[in-house]
Parts: sequence; C-alpha cells; structure tokens
Amino acid sequence: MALFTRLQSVAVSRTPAGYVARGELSDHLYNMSLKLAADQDLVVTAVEGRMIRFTTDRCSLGLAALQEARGLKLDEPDFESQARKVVGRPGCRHLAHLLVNAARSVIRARDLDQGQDRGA
Amino acid sequence: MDYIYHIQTRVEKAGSLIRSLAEAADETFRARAAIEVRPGGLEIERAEAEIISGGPDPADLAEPLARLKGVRVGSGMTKIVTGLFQDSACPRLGELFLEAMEAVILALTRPLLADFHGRLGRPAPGEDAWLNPAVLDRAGRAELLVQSPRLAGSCAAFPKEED
Repeated sequence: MALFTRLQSVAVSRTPAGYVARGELSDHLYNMSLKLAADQDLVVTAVEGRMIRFTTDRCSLGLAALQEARGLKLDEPDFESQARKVVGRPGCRHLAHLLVNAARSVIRARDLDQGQDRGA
Repeated sequence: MDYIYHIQTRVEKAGSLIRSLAEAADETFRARAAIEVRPGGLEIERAEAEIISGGPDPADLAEPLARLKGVRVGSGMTKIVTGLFQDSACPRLGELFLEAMEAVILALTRPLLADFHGRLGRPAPGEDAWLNPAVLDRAGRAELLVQSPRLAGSCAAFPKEED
C-alpha cells in the first residue's frame, strides 16, 4: 500500500502572444491547479491558481502571492528561487513548486519549438 | 497541445526502509529516480536511476548517484541535490530525486495530520474541504510540534507567526 502518491502534469500551448501553461498537482494531501501565460520573451504576463484541497488557512495566501510572479522572466537563472520566495514563503510552497514546473515546461516547449536537444 | 509533462511519485514501505519512486515523462525525456531512506534520520541508503530516453550515458551518473548516499531528506536537500546533478549532464534527474525526497516528507506528514484530524472528531477531508482544520487549533499545533519538531515553520503545520 502506498504511503503517499502525487501526480503532477503541465500542458503547454503555443499562442499568438507566447505560451500558456496549465498545471495540476494532486496528492494525498493537496490538490491545486494554475494557469500561466508568458509572452514570446518568456516574461510572465498573467497567472492564476485554484486551491482545491489544502491543509491550513495559510495555503490559500499563495493565490494572491502568485501575482508577484507577473513580470518575472521564466528563463532567468534566479526565476525558480524568486518563485519559491514570492509564492512559497508567504503562501504555499506546493503552489510555488507547481509554478516552477510550469515554468520549466514552458522553457522546454520553447526549446522544442526551436529544435534544441532537451534531453540533458 | 504543444507540450505535456507528467511527474508521478509514489512512496511505500520497503522492509525497514521507506522507498520513494519518481517518474517523469515528456516527448523526449523519460526517467525514473528511486531512493530508499531509513526512518528516523532520513538519510538516503540507496539511490537508483533509470533514464529510458533522452538522457546522458548512465556512466555519467555513477558519481552523483554514489554521492546521494548519506544525504539527508530535509532542509538543505535542494541545494545539495541540485549541485550534485548540475555537473552530471542531467539536471532533470536531480529534479526527479528532489520530487522523490519531497514525497518522503509528505508521506511522513500524512499520518500525523490524519491522526490529529481523527482525534479532534473532525469530519473526513474531502473535495473542496479543509483537509486539516485540526492544525488551526492552538493546542493541536502545540502537541503536533512536540511530536514532530521538523514541522516547525512548515505550512503543513501552522502559520509561521504563530510558532
């Protein structure tokens, strides 16, 4: 019997303005989703989330904190630490993690567009 | 849809150890990372990886895999694991090991929360419901912290300002 299981998925679509990523995280404790839009330069133009199942009243503070990610550039070296700082610390680190995985997915989708080898 | 990425993580008992397996797949990369940790200290006793497609030669991973042994699941693990795999030509495998390690923490947290939930006579958690209203109770928080100090400051336990 599993002590814990988690599923995460991110789907990225190319749009005229750039990219839209939809992510979902579901496990024995948490269930949340987010939608992230980025322009052609991978700057976050919009982000919104939904907390479906969570553990404390602090978790949902992450939804408002998500807005702090607007204007960040997904492929900047410090994006992940910034995302964890502005979304994870004041709100929900699992939502911040989903944001990071959405960002990684957009970058990989962009690289796939550009024909780069993303294996490593 | 232009790109889809999946990560699945599963934690289970493996004899006296805890085994955590993380699997990831997208169009060009597919891999598994597994760790076994000893309850209590949570040091990694065994680390294995399989890159099914899109990764480097397995020989390039021997060193970081060997150096994972003894790393403790807990604070500081992100920096250590990221550093180990940054130079291995497969940072994505480092991401997977961190998924597996995070899942160990959550697997240990799950029964604590369920226990407090049940003891306070709260209804079972469900869709669109608070999973853990018990931790909003001050006495419950204090007892939880005594039993599991590692939850201090964790969002799984309570807001930081009320530690």
